[in-house]
Amino acid sequence: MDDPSRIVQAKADPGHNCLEVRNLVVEFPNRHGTLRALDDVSLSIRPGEILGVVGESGAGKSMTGLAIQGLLERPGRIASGEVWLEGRRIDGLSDRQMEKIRGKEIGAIFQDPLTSLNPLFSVGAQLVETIRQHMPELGKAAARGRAIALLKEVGIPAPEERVDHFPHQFSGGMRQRVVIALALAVNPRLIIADEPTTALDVSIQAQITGLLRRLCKEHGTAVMLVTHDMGVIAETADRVAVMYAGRLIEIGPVETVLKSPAHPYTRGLMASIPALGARVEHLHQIDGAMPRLNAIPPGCAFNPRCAAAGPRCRRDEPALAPVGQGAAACWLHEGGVA
Amino acid sequence: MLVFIIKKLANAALVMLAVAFLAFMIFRLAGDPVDMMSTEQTTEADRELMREKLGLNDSFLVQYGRFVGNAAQGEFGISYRNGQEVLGLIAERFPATMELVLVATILSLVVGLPLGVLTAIKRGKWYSEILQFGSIIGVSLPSFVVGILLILVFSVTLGIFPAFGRGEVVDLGWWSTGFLTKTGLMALVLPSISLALYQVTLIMRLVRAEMLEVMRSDYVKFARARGISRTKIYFRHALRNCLMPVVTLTAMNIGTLIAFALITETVFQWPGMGMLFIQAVTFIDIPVMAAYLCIVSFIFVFLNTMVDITYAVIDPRLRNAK
Ligand SMILES: Nc1ncnc2c1ncn2[C@@H]1O[C@H](COP(=O)(O)OP(=O)(O)O)[C@@H](O)[C@H]1O
Ligand SMILES: [Mg+2]
Repeated sequence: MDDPSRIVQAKADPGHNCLEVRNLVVEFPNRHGTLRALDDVSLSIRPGEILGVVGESGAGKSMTGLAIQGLLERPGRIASGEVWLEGRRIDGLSDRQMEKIRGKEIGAIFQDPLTSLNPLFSVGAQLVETIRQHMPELGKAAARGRAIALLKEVGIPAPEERVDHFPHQFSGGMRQRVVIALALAVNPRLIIADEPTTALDVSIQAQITGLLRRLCKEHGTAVMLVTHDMGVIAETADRVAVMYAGRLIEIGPVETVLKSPAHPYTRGLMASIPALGARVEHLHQIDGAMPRLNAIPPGCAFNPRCAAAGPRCRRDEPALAPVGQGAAACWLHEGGVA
Repeated sequence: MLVFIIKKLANAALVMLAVAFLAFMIFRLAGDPVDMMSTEQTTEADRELMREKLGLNDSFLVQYGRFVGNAAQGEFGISYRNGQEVLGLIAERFPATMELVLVATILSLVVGLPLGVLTAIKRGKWYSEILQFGSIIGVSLPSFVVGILLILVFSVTLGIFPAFGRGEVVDLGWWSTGFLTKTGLMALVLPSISLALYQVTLIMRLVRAEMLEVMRSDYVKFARARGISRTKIYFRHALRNCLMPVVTLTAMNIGTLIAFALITETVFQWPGMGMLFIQAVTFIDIPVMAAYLCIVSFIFVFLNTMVDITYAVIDPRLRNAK
């Protein structure tokens, strides 16, 4: 009962998980002590499955993605826990070894397509660079052919011509398609998409998430979709993970979490959505603010903002425990708050 | 791209016209040339004849037009000091200065660029910190002090390099080069180092700052997330994005170097344009001063135009800009 990773993965044979994160702790040591940016985060994603990750800004969503990719900025480091990709443990690998995994087995999509492409290289050059980095056996012409096919696959018209165009010649939505093509370039097993539509015009957000969902289902790629847009989650994700102050506080199938959230924080998030499918820019609808990393209260990190909090919530930190089809870290479901 | 180049060239031509105007005004303000050429015996009629011959009776604009026309063909008249053709005087000195500036520029790039990249990617390592600290000294040391120190150590004490002059030169048409003889090359070492030191530190600091900035950019992080190796990221993605300011700085510096060469040339007794100019100033040799002004400005403007065009070559976003 006290190993949350086992609970989260209880229903799936670990061998079938594409990604498995176990008890991940990320710390930033500094002069005044150590900031714990992620505290005991466990989650898993199966091939072809889309896991939505939600939570207020600063909850640790991006940090989780970066830790998995081995891209934590110094002095940030994985203090404990494990990351498994396709049955292989990848935390603690050297940067050299991670270079062979990034792009090849883990594709990445960043928030802002305007800034994620290098302005000085044609999109074709950047695609070919990625393809040849991971498939050195491919010749220049073959890599270029693959680049054109990828552009076509992500829905860019006239890819034979567009391949030689530079990023500034594409609209925001088209650039994000290029970024998706880059993420998919060598058929990775997992894609980490960090707020892929936040910077885009509302009218094209649905197209982009739709595209992402279709491609991942076709290729059987697992996706970790970070967003604070509940509408995107409802339309795209299979399961949802909710983060708060560096902790994973609820995880479960999307219908369950959206319709009957188990954690009061998730409930607050849901209550803020006027109707499913409607989009909100920020999740500032729960009273109070998320604590800073150096001021996390004892007990449950959410207790100062929680209407249901009892003495126990202020004393002991709840662990993730099964609730219905999912799991939540809340005393309400584990023997009461008193 | 063609429109862009034509526009830049038109710009350059305008600037040169303005510079020529300045040079022309120097002539006008320096006094009546007829006064300078006449003696007590010159009659009023002779003076009038001279005025007519020199075209001084024409309107201001016609005179200016003639000046520009002549300058464009390299006709700057005759030196007041020794009666030689100004163009010839400058042509004689020009190669010395240009070779010095060329070597100093190459030196500053060859040393400054790698040091900038190194101090950026190995930030925090002890040698980076030492270089970074050393560069502050390099920026603040006046070049004549550097020159004198170099002479003191390498010529006077160690006797490796000559302390003054250009060594033997070989004439290639009107261009006299010091690149082809051993003494010529040895003579270049100290003056070019003293001229380049400041530029090295400037370029190193610029490249370091730009690299650090670019390394923080999203597209570098995204390139990392695509699994591109560090070396490729440093030298393909990051350095290339730093090149524009380096190109600008270098081109602007060539102008500055020519100006600075004045001091270095004095310290090392280098027979270049700077020395010529200093002599011209002492003798109020207006034609030489005007020619120097025009030629140095022309170099500035030419480099500036080349910079703009290089920008367009490096950065695709500027190619389509109308
Ligand atoms: N370099 C760093 N040093 C210390 N703390 C950091 C650093 N980078 C991010 N953090 C902290 O980590 C937490 C999680 O950030 P992040 O994962 O970016 O949140 P989000 O859920 O909005 O993506 C935040 O509280 C942030 O302040
Ligand atoms: Mg984020």
